[in-house]
Amino acid sequence: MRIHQHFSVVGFCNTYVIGDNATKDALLIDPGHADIELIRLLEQHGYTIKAVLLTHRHSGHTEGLGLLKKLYDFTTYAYEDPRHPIIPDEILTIGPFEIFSYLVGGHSRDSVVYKIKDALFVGDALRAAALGKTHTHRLAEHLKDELNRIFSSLDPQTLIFPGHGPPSTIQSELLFNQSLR
Amino acid sequence: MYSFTRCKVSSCPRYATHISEYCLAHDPRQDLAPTLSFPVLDSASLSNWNCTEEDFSGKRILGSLFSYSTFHGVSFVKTTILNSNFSFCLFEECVFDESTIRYVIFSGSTFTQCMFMNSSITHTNFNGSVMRDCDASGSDLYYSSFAHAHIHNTKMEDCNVRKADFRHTLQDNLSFRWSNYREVL
Repeated sequence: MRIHQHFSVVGFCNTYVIGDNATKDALLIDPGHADIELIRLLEQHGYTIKAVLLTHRHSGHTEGLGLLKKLYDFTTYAYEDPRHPIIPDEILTIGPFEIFSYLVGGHSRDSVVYKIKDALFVGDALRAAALGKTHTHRLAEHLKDELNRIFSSLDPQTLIFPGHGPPSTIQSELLFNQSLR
Repeated sequence: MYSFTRCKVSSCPRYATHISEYCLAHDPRQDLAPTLSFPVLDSASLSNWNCTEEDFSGKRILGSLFSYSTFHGVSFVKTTILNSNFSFCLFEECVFDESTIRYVIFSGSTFTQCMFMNSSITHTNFNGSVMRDCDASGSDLYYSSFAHAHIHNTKMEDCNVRKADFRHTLQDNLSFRWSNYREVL
């Protein structure tokens, strides 16, 4: 499995391409913007997009879907999606990928975190050393509790790929993220 | 992309290398020369490595794991480092000048007398790191995070620090002269 990051200048969002070296199947997470760099990344590696996973449906994380839909044939999954809903705490198998989903809410009602192998894709629930933005303190407390629950069940070396900013690890967040305490 | 495969020795907390089922401590005779001779290090796993005066200049390091390693006098000049993990490492007298570093984790690492001049260091995690007598002047630090870092006698002059994160840092003689410090997060 290989994880590629693509930075979208629209919405400053990270889009992640998770490719399988053997089958060339790929997942996309949060296509905030589909530009020539993202298309080139997919084409250079010869990836076939099997699915797009949305951590939440804010426009900065979904605006690339329109163009990608015109170019590729894939299924889009999101929490409470009427056609392809993500079911929290269950494993979803897409091609060679096993995806475990956690519903965390907080930043938005539909915020989910995806775990694929040793990597967590947290969307806007978390940024390196900062909790994701929430509308109220109660939601922030809820988000903190949910993230701590997830982190306590996983290996501290698990990688964290947020929707904005640099990657991190659970260990780094537990040590240097004050808002999780 | 690296994977977190534990060393085969039971109770050993370290990770196996990409060329062995054991970590470097339990199989110190591993031959790293072929790996290091390639211009591209891809998916290498070298945790707890003691690296001295190695020359990575001009190389590409992609999706590789070097956590808990020590680097002394290592050259990363004009090196491209993407999506790699150098968390909790020790860097002494290392040179990263004119390097391209993107989506890399250096959190918890210590840098002493390291140079990062005229580099592109974007979307990189330095949270909780310690920097002493370093110089990153002329570098693009866009969206890199230094939260909870302790930065002493260090220059970040004429840098692009837009969206860089310096919250909760301990700053002692850190110079941002000519940098756009108003644009940090």
